[in-house]
Amino acid sequence: METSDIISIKQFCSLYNIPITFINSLNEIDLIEVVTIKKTQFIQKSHIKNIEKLMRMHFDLNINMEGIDVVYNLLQQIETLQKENANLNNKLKFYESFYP
Amino acid sequence: MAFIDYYKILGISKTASEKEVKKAYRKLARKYHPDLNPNDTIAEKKFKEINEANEVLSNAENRKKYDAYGENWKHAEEFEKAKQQQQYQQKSKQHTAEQFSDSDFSDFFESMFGKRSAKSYRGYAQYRGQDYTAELQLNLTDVYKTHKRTLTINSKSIRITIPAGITNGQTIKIKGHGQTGINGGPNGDLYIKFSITNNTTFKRDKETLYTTVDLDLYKAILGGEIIVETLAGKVKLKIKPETQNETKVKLKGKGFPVYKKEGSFGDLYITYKVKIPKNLSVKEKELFNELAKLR
Repeated sequence: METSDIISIKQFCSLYNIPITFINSLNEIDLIEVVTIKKTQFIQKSHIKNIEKLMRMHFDLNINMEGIDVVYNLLQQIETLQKENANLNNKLKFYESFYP
Repeated sequence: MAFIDYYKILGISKTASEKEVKKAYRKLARKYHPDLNPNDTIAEKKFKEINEANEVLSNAENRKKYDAYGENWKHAEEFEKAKQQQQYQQKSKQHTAEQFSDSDFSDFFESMFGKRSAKSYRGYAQYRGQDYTAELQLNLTDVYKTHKRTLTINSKSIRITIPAGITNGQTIKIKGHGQTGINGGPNGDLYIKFSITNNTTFKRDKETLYTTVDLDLYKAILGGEIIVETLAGKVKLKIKPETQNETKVKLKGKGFPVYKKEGSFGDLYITYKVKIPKNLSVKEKELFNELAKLR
């Protein structure tokens, strides 16, 4: 992993002005992946967008960690179902077009 | 520009306490927040209304101004002048709407409170802008070739490249064209969902196209040539003698473009429908009878 792809949790929390405990809690419930290199903990920059979403849920909507876990997993299920639905819709339209 | 009843939006009375405003906002925000309602433009619109209502009612000064001049918002400027004379000290209050830009507030809001300049409750933390979503309706023939198109998103014009071969329901990301980042943070992204209407007689399954072509009986029996329309233009096809009804032929590379593989095309499958002649003349019937006897 390139060092340019990661950011230390300390730096991230300082930039976003959030407590480190928040990131640790997300890590504990496996919502984010923390990488440890030479005793320093990092997160991948590509995961920041996702973490921001979790931050909004917690800080803006006052959802606790357990709630975030449930909501996040349900949102992922919705996304998967939406993609599957779009694919099935396309297939259905395709087959329906043979029997107008 | 119409008056907006912020109390009604949050479902609270005009006497609601600060705590009640916050509670009502949080309850509605949890229901309509864009993060919890992905690709739902109605929820997004509703959330902006709730957010705006909270912006006004959770701030004591804004609420005072709104209560005094709300329905007579045109007099708000006088209020501003009076306020300046009294050297009113503006106090910043915490709020929970940092992910929205000025353009997310109504004209009514901006006429009363001006452009928003409040700080994030997380101080001056850098923050990525919100992602925007939009739906673009196109015809199938529009996505046969890669082309550029100018779209207007939140009053801003952006020119995007639409790659050939995109499928119905597919979403593409335009990096950095979402909401402007907060305090120098990166911009959000724009997600465009494509809704594609088939305006052709071809049936499409990703890059494979299907069509049926009528074949007259004599050409089916004796063979010959026909001209077939494809999306790439007209193609001359040889018909083998004794071609059966429902015979399928594949025209390699005459289908739809393969997404993000410039110059690569799928195949076109043609099904022949042999047409039996109708309203036969006496002479034709005689000849068919003779043919029948030969079999």
